[in-house]
Amino acid sequence: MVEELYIKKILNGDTEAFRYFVTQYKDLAFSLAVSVVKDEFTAADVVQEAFVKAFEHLKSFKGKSKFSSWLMRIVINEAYKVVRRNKVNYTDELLELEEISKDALKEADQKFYVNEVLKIMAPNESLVLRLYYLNENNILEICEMTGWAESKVKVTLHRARKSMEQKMKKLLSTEVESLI
Amino acid sequence: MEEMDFKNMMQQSKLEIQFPDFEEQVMTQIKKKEANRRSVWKNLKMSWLFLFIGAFLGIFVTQFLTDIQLPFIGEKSKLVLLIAEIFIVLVVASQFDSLLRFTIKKRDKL
Repeated sequence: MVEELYIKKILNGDTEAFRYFVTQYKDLAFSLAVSVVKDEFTAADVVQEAFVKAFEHLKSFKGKSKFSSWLMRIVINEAYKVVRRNKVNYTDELLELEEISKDALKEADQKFYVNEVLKIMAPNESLVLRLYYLNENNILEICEMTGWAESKVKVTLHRARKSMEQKMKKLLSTEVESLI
Repeated sequence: MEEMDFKNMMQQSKLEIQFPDFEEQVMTQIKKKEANRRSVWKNLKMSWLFLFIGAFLGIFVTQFLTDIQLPFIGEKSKLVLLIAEIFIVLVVASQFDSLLRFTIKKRDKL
């Protein structure tokens, strides 16, 4: 596999070879970090720190799981560490969203809606949604990446889906009202 | 909402890092860390080398000193030399211990 080749190169002292992984996974890592920390700047710091950690501990990657799973686990751990350290609060109400997006909502951009709703959802819920539907990980892979029990992943995923649907409906009705 | 629709909707949740120099920043930080790691190893090797050179020189000097008399101290010259020898051994042993601990700590980390 290509990834194995790059890992061997890095372990043999070719630091520049790590750029391949940065290019390959930066956006996914960023999406997952945003799910947890809810802020783009903090998420970028989290991802940067995670990449540096991954590089430093590359020797400990034994290839038992996919490299991406191993890397994303580091990203997720770093993100939760920041949340715990900064005691970041999120709100599951749409009040903030209404304030910031009256104009933006009119752009009728589904991508915008989806990401804004994910931003106001609980970190665990938005994270699990992105892992399952965006990165297409199965339940066991999510357990491996998050360190959660299988039951917790299933319950969170179910709850997250419901919450996402509700929030989307609420958001879209708000938008219709504002247009009328 | 159907599972497929939901999945399609979620496919749009991928975000892109909007910082153009992000990749460069990460690589710079990694290269800095790597350079630092290499310099630590280099310094450690040098420390071991000089510790051994110092220890051998110490042994040589103490051997040499036992053959000479210190007339200004008189009868106590042997005692003074013994104290000096013990001091050198203690210094070498403590340095050896510190260096060994540091090497093990760094080996686990790096």
